[in-house]
Amino acid sequence: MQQEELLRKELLAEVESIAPIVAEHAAASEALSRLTEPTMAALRRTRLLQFFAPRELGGLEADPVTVVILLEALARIDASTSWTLGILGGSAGLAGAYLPAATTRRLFADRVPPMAGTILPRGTAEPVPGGYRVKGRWPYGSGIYHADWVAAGAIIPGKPLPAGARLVLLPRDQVVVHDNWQVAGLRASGSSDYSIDDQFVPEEMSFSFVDLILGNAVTGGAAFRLGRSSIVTSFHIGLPLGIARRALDEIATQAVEKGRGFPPSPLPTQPHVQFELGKAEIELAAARAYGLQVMSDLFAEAQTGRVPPPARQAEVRAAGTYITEVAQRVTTTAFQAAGGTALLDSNPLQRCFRDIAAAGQHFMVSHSAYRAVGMFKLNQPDANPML
Amino acid sequence: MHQEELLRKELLAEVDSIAPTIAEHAAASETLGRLDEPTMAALRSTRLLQFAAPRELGGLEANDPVTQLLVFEAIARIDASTSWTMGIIAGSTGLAAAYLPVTTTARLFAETIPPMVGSLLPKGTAERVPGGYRVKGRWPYGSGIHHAKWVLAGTIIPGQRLPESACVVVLPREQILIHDNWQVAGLRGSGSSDYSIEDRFVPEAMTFPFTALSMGQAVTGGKAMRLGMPAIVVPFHIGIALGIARRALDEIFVQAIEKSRGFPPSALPTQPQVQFALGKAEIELAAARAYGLQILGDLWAEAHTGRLQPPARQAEVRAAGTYVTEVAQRVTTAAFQAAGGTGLFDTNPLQRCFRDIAAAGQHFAVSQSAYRAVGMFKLNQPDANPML
Repeated sequence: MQQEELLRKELLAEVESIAPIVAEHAAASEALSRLTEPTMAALRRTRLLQFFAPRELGGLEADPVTVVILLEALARIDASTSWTLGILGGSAGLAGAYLPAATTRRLFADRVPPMAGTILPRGTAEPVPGGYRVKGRWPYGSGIYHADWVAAGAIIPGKPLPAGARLVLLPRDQVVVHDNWQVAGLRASGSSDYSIDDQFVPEEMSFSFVDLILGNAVTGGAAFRLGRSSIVTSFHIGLPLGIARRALDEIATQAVEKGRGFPPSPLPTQPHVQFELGKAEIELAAARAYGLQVMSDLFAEAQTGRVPPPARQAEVRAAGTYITEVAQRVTTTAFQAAGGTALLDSNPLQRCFRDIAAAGQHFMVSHSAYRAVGMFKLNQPDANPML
Repeated sequence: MHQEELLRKELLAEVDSIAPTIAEHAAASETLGRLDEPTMAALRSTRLLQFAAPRELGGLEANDPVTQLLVFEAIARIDASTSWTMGIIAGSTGLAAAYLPVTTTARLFAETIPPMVGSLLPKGTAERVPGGYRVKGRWPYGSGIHHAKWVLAGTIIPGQRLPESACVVVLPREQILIHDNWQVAGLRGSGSSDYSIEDRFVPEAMTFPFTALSMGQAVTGGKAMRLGMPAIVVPFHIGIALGIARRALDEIFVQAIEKSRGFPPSALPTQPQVQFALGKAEIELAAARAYGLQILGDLWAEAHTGRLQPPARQAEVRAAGTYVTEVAQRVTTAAFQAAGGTGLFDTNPLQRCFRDIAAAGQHFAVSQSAYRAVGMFKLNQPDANPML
């Protein structure tokens, strides 16, 4: 536990060290629809891109509480940067844990390679001698512009699901990136579509989706054995907490300079502003306490050697949905309190407002997660954490 | 810490041991407008009424804020009025024991831990006379007063300035007139009647200044008595709200199995909107509970520094009570609504939960103004006040 605390402190210090660059380039990254080279260079100077890779492969193997705290800190500066880092480092971690050990020893020999890609099974993997021929088109390739390797979910034709679902990994230059990430929120995350047009993928560059669901990692510890959907929830908790925290920090600062009404009175003296921002603080504090508690309990469970069962997976996923929903409410409150000045592109409140709206569109934090929890509580035989 | 965990377990086991009696008598207590004698006897058979009193005076002093939350939650899950009454008796007894002069409490607590209750609202006057005060006034919300041996009352000393003039006085129950006005919809079994004092002498030794309480300057007992106001009362409000909402969800998950709705009827557990509403309610309650445990755990850790938490922190802790209560109201309402018409009946615990959580939210300590107080501190307003 002490070791985890230490890692948290070190990672937060590294975030701090690059905060000015991340902040300075946030707008330029938005214009580019991906992170600028100075932002990526700053990230590469730290160990942040290695946050999730297994220790045996040179990574930091951060526990889920640490992931929440790290991504929160980065998202407080810029959500797109946090999102991109979470994907690049998180995908490297998953590939490092689930690809065959011989493969990862080779891929991670020099450094933890940044990886991206989606596990949605949107392509096919036709078995051929020594591997698969893969084709398909995938949405939401966040971070793909900065990745060395790209993961993709594919179905083996003729094999029933879920056994027929495989994850394949290709070098980034075998993938075509489509320039379609024209969006309002998380604009700099570069979450473009990508396609693979009949490429050969050797068997050892793939692993079974079922292993990921069951937490059967071949490398690394409990952090990789949380099961699906839990393994990605720390990402969806840290991000919204950081965005909402930034929005409240911004409005507390911006309010000092602002008067409204006729005759005008300073925003900090207005009772409804005091009420709404006070309530938003408490709502965010509650959401954060819940996020940290759920992740801490989950990790403790995984450390006993048992992958948390489906009902628990549903609850953990719904925690992400809830925290995202609270963060949207909190961020909206901060945005509204600023009135007209929040409309400007130059105001971080505007970006927070767009980013938290975008973050909530991810399937993992969809409102169906609540229904999934209800179905487990009501003992429905078809209850499913990935509803 | 280990000792705290152990006491927590023991107290929760004591709650379990009297759970059947509390459950059986909840309706009778509602009818009476106070706890019935078998419920009180059951409480007396445990150490629950003594759990806040200082160890030096024979109490358990197990009243760290997290233990309080867990105990109040556990009892409220069975019956909120019982939890409310028990909390007021144990808490008031603890406060009086901690803040009255040492020689006084040595006498009062010599043989047993006497049940005490009363309101700290300064709704009476205490006129200085030789050796003490002449006290009169009328106070609302004397929860548990029917079961008390001693009664506390908040007063103002005329001619002195606030807050120094605010004085808490303690009188024998026989010197107090209880008004039979607790005709209400929620927390009906809590017996929170008005009471009045008609020109009684109270010796100096049976009083303490309200400022001592708000500043956490207890003369007896440990850190849990030195949390300051309003933090010291927040575990009560958080625990009870969580217990009521938990019971409501437990109820609806059981009741849903037997229930069908719609034309043609389908089983409630198969209905998507029920699954959604109850699933969301579970998560909301889990978040509120995590927050309650975290903030009270932190508060307790802060108390070990020996420093009174500053007003901004007091405001935040109070607002946590408001928030948890608000969430509990939403969750309880979701459970009540899901039950449809069967939730309407006096015999259905969901109906009582619905009434009780509505009543619990009317307490000033958890009023919505707590949010504004937090905002005022965050916005650095000079007149920010945790008791807004």
